[in-house]
Amino acid sequence: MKKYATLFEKGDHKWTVFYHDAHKADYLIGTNEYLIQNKGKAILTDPGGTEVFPEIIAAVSEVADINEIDQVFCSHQDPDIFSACALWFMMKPELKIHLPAIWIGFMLHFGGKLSNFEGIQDLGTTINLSGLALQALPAHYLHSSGNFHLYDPIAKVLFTGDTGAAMTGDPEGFLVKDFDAHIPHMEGFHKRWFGSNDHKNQWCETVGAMDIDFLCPQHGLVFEGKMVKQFIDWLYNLRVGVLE
Amino acid sequence: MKQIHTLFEKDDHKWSVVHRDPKKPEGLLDTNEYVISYKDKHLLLDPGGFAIFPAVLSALVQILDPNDIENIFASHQDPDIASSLTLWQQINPDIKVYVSWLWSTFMPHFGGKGDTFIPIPDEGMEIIHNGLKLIAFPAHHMHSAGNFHLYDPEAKILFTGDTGAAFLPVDNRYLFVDNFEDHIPFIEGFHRRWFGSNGHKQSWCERVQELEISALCPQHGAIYTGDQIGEFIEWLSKLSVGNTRNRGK
Repeated sequence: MKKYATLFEKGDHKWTVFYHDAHKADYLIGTNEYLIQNKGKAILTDPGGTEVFPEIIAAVSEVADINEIDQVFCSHQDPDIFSACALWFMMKPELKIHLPAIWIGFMLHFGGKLSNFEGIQDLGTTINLSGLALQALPAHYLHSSGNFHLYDPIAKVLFTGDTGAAMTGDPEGFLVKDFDAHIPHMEGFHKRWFGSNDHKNQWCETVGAMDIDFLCPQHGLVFEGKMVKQFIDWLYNLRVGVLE
Repeated sequence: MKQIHTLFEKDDHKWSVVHRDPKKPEGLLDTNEYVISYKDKHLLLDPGGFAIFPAVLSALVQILDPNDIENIFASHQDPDIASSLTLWQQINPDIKVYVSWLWSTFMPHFGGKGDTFIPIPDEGMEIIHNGLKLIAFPAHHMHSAGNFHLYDPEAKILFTGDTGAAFLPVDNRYLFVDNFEDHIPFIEGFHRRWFGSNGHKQSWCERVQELEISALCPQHGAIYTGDQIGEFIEWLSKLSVGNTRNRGK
């Protein structure tokens, strides 16, 4: 079973992170999923591919009734983001998927019908979770051409998809403990996967001005407190699009 | 049924393209699937998504025995590229998939095991398909971070994945570009928005000039032949891409 932990909780409003899967195959990149609950409804971020579907359902069911989840947020279109959507549609035919509008025609190759997909236009949008206004924040070309992060201004949590991703996990916890020691696990990824320094720097400037307690990537570890700013500064100074 | 067209044929060496799905689901982006056949063994290029597998398979069985599909070339990791992999594997469990090393741990999220994937290093590689030499040609950040095209030096065909792709109107899905100027409205928005890096795009435009190409074959839209190949490369080299910003509202 994947491990999970509570990131934020206040009344009916809660963020849960699902991390480290001890039984994951070596050839598969590990993922973190985040569940946001508010007043009896829930939204799940980047719920993963067909290979991890059973583990995700099992773990999420420990925290929430699957019936609560009627929305999914997809940061982009990659296989590890939501190639399991066809399996989810069998359980929940009316599941609503928020994703970058430019990927709708592509995502339909996984399955589903046009009405399942709610396209987010390039400038971003607000997603309503029982009165909680979540903000889809543009992160285009980081790395995907159509890419969004999800900000919760009440919980001060920013879900960042592949931004901040590290090619390591920590079976003992989900937080970055030592920023400098964490750099080697994320540097190669950001240099190689991200292609545009301009778009990367625009994102750093925008996010650097926001109030964020937790910065939550889909792979690796969560940045908390002062490490959020450390990460943004580090990324701003990193040269990306490097082919060696 | 999707239509089938032979692009090249010489002895045991053949390129076919399967295109224009008349029954594609609403909103789904239409795709071209190419097959390189050499001495009765087949390599599929970007065989498409899970949702269109029946349409692609039913067209292909008209021209080949699916048990003889030994290799898949995936230009990148998108849903429309090879999420049908798990189904092709039901036909041939030993099928191999050539894909950028960047995606070899992401792709197993929709199928395949560790040894299904043959990772292509950033500089590209030679792919030997049943004795036929093919070249994986780097096209990184166009649009995907790890992206390859496939060149056949014998047939002089370059498969370009999303480069050159057109979003054609459903009622006008032509297979060959007839007039490049008329084709521009169907390719411009896509290349400007999906491609994010002018530097990497420029590098491709320069390197591709070294190849002798008789057909430039994208995964969406229409094929470029003759003078249109040079016209397309020239046009792309002058296009400014990455046209959206990350400034929020």
